[in-house]
Amino acid sequence: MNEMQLIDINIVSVGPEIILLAAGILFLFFKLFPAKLSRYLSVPAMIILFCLFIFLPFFRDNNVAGFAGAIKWDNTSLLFYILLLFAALLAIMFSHGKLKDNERAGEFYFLLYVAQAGMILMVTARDLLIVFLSMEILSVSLYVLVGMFRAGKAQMEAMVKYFLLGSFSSAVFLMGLALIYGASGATHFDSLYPATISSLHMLALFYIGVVMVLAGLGFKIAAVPFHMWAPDAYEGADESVAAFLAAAPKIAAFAVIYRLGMIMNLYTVETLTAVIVVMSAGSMVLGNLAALKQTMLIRMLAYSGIAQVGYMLIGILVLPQSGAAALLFYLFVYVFMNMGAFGIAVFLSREKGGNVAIDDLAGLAKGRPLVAFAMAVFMISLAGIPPTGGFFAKFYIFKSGIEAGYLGVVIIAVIATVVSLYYYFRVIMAMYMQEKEEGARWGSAGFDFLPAVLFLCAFALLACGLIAPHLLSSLMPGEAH
Amino acid sequence: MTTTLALIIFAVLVFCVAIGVPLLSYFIGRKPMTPEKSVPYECGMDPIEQEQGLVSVKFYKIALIFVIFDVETIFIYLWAVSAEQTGVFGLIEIIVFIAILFIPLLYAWHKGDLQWE
Amino acid sequence: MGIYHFLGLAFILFAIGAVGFFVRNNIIVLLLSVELMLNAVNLVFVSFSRYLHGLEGQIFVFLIMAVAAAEVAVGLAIVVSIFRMFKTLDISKMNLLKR
Repeated sequence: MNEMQLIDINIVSVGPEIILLAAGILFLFFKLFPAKLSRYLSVPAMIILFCLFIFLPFFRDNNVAGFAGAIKWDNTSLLFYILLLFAALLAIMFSHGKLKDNERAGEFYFLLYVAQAGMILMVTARDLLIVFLSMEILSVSLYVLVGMFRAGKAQMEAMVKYFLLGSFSSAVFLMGLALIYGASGATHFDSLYPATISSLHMLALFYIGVVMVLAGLGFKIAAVPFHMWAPDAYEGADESVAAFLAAAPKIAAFAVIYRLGMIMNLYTVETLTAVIVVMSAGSMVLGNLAALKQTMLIRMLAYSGIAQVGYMLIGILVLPQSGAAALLFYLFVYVFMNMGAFGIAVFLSREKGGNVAIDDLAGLAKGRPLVAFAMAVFMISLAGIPPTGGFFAKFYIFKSGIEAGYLGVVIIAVIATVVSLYYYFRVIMAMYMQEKEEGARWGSAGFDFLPAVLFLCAFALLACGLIAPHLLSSLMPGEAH
Repeated sequence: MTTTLALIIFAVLVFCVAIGVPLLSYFIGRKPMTPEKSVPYECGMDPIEQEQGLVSVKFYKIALIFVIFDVETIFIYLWAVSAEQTGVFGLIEIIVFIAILFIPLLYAWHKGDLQWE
Repeated sequence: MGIYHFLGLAFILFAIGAVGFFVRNNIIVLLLSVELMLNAVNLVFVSFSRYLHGLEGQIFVFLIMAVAAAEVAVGLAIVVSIFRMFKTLDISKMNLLKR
């Protein structure tokens, strides 16, 4: 019996998490080192994330499983894992040079790594209980991250709102999990469907459970009935944390929804489809309408992120077929365009200090043409205009939606896209058409770390647009499990 | 199927009652907030002095650290119940678990949160 | 006493917690409501575990208790720092961020 258990555990399946946690603990005790080093702490933090890419070949086509099947790597989870690493790398780059004292810096990277470990666990988990555990690891560290910098009243308020709604959502998720357990007698993804068939009289209970689980995950992706926390939390948090918050947890939660959809949609469950249609259409309509009247850049991006989630949820509807590749491609593009736009906010708030309004972008094209160009690419991509990656992402999602017969949702999505052009182009107009009033000029135009990173992001988006068809075919997951 | 239906009807009723009663009192109840209501009750007399002295934050710190370590010990109870069945493997597992618990303790110590003065 | 009695009690507790979360203003009471919801979930797990003659449900309860403790510890730390800054725990008084 004992040997069996030892084989079941398979430490390799949680290798990345263990490395991240060990490195994070090292950062935590970093206080012992000389204080000057803390500004450069982001360098080892980035190097460790790069090292995690070395793990990739181990997992490719290998289906490493551990903990009696509760954790399993396949090529799809590998793709989500790469996306998460990209998001974390960008967040660390944005925070570079921000942390001046050792204690804060160590704690920041520790929390970031713990959140990252939680998300990787979430992506590879095959048991809903493990999903809950990893979601809590992620959330608890994010609650603290939101209120970490600039301890003012607004930050504390953002933190407490995010914390309260987050813990409420995890309670809802857990209730759904309990109902699923009661209806099917199992929490493992693979055993959900057969178990429900064998106990048909519990099916209604099972569906209520799935809907509640989706509601809990909806909080993490900020889809519409559960989106209230997003703009406040993003505005209150430091910009680099907000960038991380806007991309990484969404990727991880989408990975779980993807798995659920893979199982549920295979056997056509109308209730699930109805829930996702409502979430998707609501996110697109409300997100875009609310974004129209925003004046602050971060809040505008927050609402635009809600709208983007609505587009991505269309991919979930058509999952077993073409939706999977379209969704993964959309997430891939989303990481770059959304985090890039937040990176611009990081850059501007560093130049200006304080929160950035859209009008503050005026004259950016003259002062810093490259930064303005990058921002223009992000906005065009978010709006979904060729030749950027954003266009192809939307195109494939809409196409797969129409092919599967969800014409109504796609029509709403197209109208929402047209509406969204207004506020994305307002940013571009501000940068290129408006003159900056006299006063503060933009800083020196010499080489700087952050603009270079942003420019690379913009370049990646344009490249995504050029090689989109090829990329899409390679993203196609080969197997269902 | 009928039992499940009964359960669902019951659940819906429960939600309606639980939401309905507070809403009812919210709409038809009167809630005058007089200053007397917010004063601590001291046998009907006016309080002599406001007993709102703030407790030092170090109590909270110790209490929080206690709460975490206190609750994490439930896993040790679980192990203790099944120690004979799990054998050496279980022993190694629980040692790893306690070693992980030691890291936050060390960190709290390191930051000086365990010091009273 | 069948499983429906236990489930009914759990649903009532869950609903009380959920409603309390939305109608109350004090952060501590909000935290209490969330705890009530989590404990309702624990009750559901235990009663299903009994009903299905499996042990997993009871193990889940221990895990949930540990996770909830971690969450509450963070929450109480946030509450302490909120009180030091705002001098109140009324969530409706916190409206610096534009809504």
